[in-house]
Amino acid sequence: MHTIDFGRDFNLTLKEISKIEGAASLDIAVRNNKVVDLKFGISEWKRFYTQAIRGKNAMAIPQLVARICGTCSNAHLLASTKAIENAFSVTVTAQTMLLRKLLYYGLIIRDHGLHLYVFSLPDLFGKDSILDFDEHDELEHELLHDTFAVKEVGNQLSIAVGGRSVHAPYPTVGGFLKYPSLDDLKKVRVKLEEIRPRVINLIRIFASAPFSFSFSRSLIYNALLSSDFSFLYGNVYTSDGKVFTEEELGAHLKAVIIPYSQARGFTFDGNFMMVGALSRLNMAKEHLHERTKKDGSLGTAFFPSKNLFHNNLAQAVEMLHAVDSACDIIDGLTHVEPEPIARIKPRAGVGIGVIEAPRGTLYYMLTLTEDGTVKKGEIIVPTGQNQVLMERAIFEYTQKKLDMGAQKQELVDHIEELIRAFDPCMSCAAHFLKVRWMKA
Amino acid sequence: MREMDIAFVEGAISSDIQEEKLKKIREKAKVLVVVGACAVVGAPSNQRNFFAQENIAEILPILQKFKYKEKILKVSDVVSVDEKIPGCPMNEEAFLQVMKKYLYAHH
Repeated sequence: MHTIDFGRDFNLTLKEISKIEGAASLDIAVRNNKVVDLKFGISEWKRFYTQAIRGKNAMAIPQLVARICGTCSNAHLLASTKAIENAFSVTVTAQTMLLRKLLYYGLIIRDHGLHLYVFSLPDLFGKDSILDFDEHDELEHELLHDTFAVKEVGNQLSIAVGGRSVHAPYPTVGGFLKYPSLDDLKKVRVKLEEIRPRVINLIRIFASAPFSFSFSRSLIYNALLSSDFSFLYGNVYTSDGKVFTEEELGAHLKAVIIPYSQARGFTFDGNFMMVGALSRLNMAKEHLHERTKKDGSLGTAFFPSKNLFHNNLAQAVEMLHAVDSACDIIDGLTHVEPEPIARIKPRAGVGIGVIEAPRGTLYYMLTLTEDGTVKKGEIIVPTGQNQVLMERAIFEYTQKKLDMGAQKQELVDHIEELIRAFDPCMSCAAHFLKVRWMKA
Repeated sequence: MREMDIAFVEGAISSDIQEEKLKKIREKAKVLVVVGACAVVGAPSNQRNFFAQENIAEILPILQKFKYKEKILKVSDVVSVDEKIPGCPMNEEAFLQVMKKYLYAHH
């Protein structure tokens, strides 16, 4: 039984929150059992990519910015590529678009898989780590096996298409430097079908997860959506019914100063905002692959959802969609034609490229000179966009758990569970602090 | 921090806190392996070491506020290193070779 101890005063500091991408910290002050102060900061050290890309040739940018993140590197690669192609009015072939989607589905399978199996699943089993799973327990043994099997197939798909699963060397501005063999793709196709039941099982597990928390205030979800739920193309939709082109998005995002964080936060037209799998599923579940809708219905039935923990369920559903969509694309290929890369004619201008990274909308704006040199860059990453909401949600969730009588260690566990529900990536978030942010 | 047979270190050194932690890891580890380009050669994490003065001036308030080191260091600038696995991403074969070398050394 919980004991409600009114009049509790304590300070809580979490210096290193585990099982997330990168470093974050949290300071909480509780007085009289009420949260009076809470600071969620991103403590990752910056590498100043926004400054570093200045003066470099646009063609070199995708491979450099891929290094921002070892997890979603191909998201940075493809978003920056899109910005450059838009700046130079480069049109790519239908085959290039298909191969980019395939490359990306590999990323979604592996990246969501890493987060759900390795970071979130231990919370559901009351374990510290996936390595603590008991191999003599049938379910836990199976899940250990699934962890590696599913991630591996995501890797193999990205390797077959991009030459490597992170920092893929083949995709480039205007096309591909090297083309995958149809034979390799067909081999991955077989493996995709093999992991399908495992992914469906993952959906089942997260659909029955006991965690639940809804934010009390109004909140705008937004995402770049297309009719085939491709993550790479389409318009930006918001949960209050607005539609924007990718060029228009930047005007709605307002940077927020968080003095104790190495990353800036964002609001959407002044509102709390959330990007990521939950936003996508809340607005576009009807665009999922037909097989996903059928076999993943146990998961999709929950959307739209206000339960922030359903972000993880949404990720599991997206993994199945990635598997099914990748299978379709491979089935439709009769041959892979080595095509010449589109001709690039540099010109002065601004290029904007927006895609859905695994964790949400990723925005690149590059100002280029007439010889194709980067004059200025602006990169807005998903975790930055979610940061303001995250801090406020942690505040509310902490208070809720205090009201329920949670003791200090319990409180820490609960808070970390909520943070992991967001799947934040600090490595991405910490590197785009504008100097204006500091001076304000 | 516990004693370690082998410590793997990724990334470059941006702050004094990281430098102290790295020194502690070195003390506790019999073998120290640095993994990936940032740890082995410093790049691309050390790109600000090569910024023009105007770019440095621009980021200076951040460097001062969060107490960044003046220059980013690679791991071997701070401690002695036993094995290096270069590449971005690291070369998998090189990693396995190092693993085998130390695993077999214990049998």
